[in-house]
Amino acid sequence: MTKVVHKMYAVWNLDKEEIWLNNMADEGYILSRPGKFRYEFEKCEPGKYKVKVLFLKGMSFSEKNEEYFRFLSEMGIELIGCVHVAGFCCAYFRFESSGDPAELEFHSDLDSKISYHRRIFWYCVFAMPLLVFGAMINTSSCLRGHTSLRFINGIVAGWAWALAAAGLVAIFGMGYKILKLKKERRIHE
Amino acid sequence: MGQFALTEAVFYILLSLQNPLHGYGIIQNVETLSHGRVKLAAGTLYGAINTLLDKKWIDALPENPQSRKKEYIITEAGRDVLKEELARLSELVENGRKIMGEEK
Repeated sequence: MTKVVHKMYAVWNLDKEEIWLNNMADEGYILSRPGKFRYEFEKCEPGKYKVKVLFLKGMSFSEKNEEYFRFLSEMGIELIGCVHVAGFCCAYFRFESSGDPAELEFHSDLDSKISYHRRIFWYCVFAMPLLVFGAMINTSSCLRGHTSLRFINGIVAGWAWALAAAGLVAIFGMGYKILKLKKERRIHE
Repeated sequence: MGQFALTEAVFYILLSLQNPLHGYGIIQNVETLSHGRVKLAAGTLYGAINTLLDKKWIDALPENPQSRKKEYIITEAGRDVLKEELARLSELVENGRKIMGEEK
């Protein structure tokens, strides 16, 4: 039996998306097909699986990513699917839970943690001007455009401004996190 | 090589690869060697293995059709690096013990 949920998570909210997917797995629904706004779940034994979401450079079928997926599958970490976002991909994995609280950590050293967070940080930094530009165009159309489309432009503009504001907060949050990790690296590995 | 210290992950990976091991085997071996203190995460291990392959400190063995898991082994260059690191660590421990008055 499958269950479909429509939801949207921005790239800077992958942590929250992962928590939600794991809550679903704990309730007995394991992700079977990810999408940008649509998630398909299959029934499973509650708590049997954990879900990991990774933001990777390149498309899912690139040689480098395929090699990585193969490496992970050798460890029992199975690729569920990928969602492509402008030259990057969000990869969704599942594996049997061992009960270890650290099992969702895919990076155990500071260097890989920094480089992973930096990838998401720069993606958001480059996506932000596009989002703001889209918001400005729609705001301008809402204020001066054709009457029948003003309402739609207003909704899109409001949504884009809200997303841009949330993204900006997230960018500062990520930047602070990276700085903290870099500071930590000066004295620890 | 000389002045750069190896990370704990790299040190333990090189140490584990005295005999051929696949990725998951390395994780388990490192955990056993460090009495459960060092738990290598999959992403960290993958990055380290690729760097070590690029530096030719480890080699990937030809694939075994029965296990379908890629195995790795330390090279001579890797063994030399490990020896240098052991000497560096011995110096650290020796000086630490001397100064802290815990010489054994």
